[in-house]
Amino acid sequence: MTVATSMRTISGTPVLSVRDLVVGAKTPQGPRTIVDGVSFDLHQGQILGLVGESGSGKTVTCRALMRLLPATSLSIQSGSIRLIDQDIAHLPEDKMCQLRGSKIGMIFQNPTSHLDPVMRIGEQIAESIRFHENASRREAKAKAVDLLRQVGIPDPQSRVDNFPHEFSGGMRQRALIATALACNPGILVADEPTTALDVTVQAQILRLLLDLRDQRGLAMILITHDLGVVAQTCDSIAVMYGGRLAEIGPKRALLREPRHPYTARLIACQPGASTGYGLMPSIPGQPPSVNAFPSGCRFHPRCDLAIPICQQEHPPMREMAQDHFSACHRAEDVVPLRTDTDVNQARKAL
Amino acid sequence: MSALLQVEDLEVHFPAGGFALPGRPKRLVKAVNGVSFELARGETLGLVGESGCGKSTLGRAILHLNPITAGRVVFDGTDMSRGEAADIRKLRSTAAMIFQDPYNSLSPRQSIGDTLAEVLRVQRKNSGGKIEERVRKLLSLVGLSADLINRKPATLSGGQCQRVGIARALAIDPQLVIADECVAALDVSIQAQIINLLIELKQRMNLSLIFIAHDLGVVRRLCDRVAVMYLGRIVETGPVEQIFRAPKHPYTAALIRAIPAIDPDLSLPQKPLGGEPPSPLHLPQGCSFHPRCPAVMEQCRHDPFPTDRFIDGRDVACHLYPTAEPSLNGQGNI
Repeated sequence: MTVATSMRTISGTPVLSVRDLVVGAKTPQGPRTIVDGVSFDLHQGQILGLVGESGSGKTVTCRALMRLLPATSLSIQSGSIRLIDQDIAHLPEDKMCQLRGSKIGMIFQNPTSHLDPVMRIGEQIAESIRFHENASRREAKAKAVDLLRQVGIPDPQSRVDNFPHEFSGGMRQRALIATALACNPGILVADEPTTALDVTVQAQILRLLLDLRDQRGLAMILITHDLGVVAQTCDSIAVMYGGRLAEIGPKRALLREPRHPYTARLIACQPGASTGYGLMPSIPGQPPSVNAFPSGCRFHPRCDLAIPICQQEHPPMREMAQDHFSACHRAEDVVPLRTDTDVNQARKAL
Repeated sequence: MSALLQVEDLEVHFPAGGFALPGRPKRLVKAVNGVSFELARGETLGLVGESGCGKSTLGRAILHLNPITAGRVVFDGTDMSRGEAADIRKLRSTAAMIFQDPYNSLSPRQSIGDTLAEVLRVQRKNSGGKIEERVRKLLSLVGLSADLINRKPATLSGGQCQRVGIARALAIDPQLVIADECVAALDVSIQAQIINLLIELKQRMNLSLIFIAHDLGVVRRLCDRVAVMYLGRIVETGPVEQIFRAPKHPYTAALIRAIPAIDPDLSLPQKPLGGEPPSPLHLPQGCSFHPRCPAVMEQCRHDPFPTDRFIDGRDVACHLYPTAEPSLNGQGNI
């Protein structure tokens, strides 16, 4: 596949390689396809931003990578997920348990509901160290203290015995990062890790993730709906719409010269992208519901560039520039909408 | 032109949960701790700050949805803080609120037509026969098709529900609308549609709007002035562009710097503002921002909260700036 060949040229073998992933759901109205043909590569030390609106399939994609889909309703229909050298798309659960935490870790949007409220922070971190590394209670606790220090918790020696309710929101997210990184996974999947946090705390957590990437060579998938977060942290960006990848490419190329009309409009309608009075650019209509995906290109009912073929045929991924792929019949005609860099100039001066 | 709304030294305290020791006073959460500002007719004020800074409580206290501990709220010449029933009734018929969660603020059992008609009946804005006509007008005003009139909120999208929430606030032809995080729960593309609707409506109806938000980008688009809150106090107020271009208070500067810009050439701040807002149960002495402040001085730790400092047309509560001459600023706080 073209995506694979050209991505490999940048930096060797990917640590994670997803090909044509299809996730189906059982609904009362019959079977539905939630994620449809998603492919991407992740290299060591790379941060990939997965962007999209709610219902675009970004969280389901990442849950599928972790094999954390609720078995009764969602399942991987086809496609492959290569983690280093094995395909984990249909790995039995006991084998998958060995990989979760040691090879691939995950952090979630709401740290409060992903920490056990009646278990001490230290024990929650130590749990996976004892499971994966057969460490003794004492060794595991010592390592937990060290991890808390690495994620920037002050006074970790005494904090390790706290319960989650004694931590603030930002500290809970730091603790969750410590649990995910306890057994040195090479890949961290972060599902909206800062959405529930205040902006000043968000900046601290993003800084921490970048520092950890630099220290440990972590590869990271960062799911977010905030293009600002992506612009400041990621190396490459994948934009999802209606369960499909709309565009994927290096950060700068994708933000400066988007090759998919959805990306261009999404950038323009971020409130921080422009200033002054007057109306904001917006995208008419609503994101499609999984029960009624439009035919052809799923963005065509909201797209001002749509031509008849867009209604009939799903556009294939095409390489528009090096490593920059777009699934649009009119990718050549997409022009970036003007954003006011004046604002950013002012911020630079701060 | 006189101000539509004057808030003077407003305080809202809540008793903290749990038991107090016998003989000790119950601990108080000082959610709003001495806030003063004015709002002119047709003006849009953005109220920004992190969660727990008291911005929602302030908005609710102005509309008498929360009890007021101390201070005055003067709306259209009437002191609402006395809490007289006739005054509150008048307030309810001229001021309205738009809530954050578009689903939970609508009754799931009422059709959206009934939701809007109820407001009109209770506030006696239209005679019985004209109510349905008015409901249809309201729906078209917020860009909804009149076919939706018999639908229940569960069958609408988040953006459509928020439009109904806006229509409900506009049903009484309000002079003042308080919008509490009214776009925070929506997707970005829908957010822009709702902001545009608010921009159009406030121009068409000459609304005074208090827009409570944590998203500074949205505030910059919509508001004339902005007030930045930290732990129950306003730390900086002024015209929106001035504050965004050259924030004076160290907290405002940190807040603006922390918004991630959509610019691939800008990187994340190397040293973001440390710490998190302390609990409003244990407010720090002196300036409440001093434990996190990069420019902290000795006097910030002990001296009372700095007020009445004016610089470049705005009000900054920070010891870095000199106190203004009282004669030049007879008005007090803006």
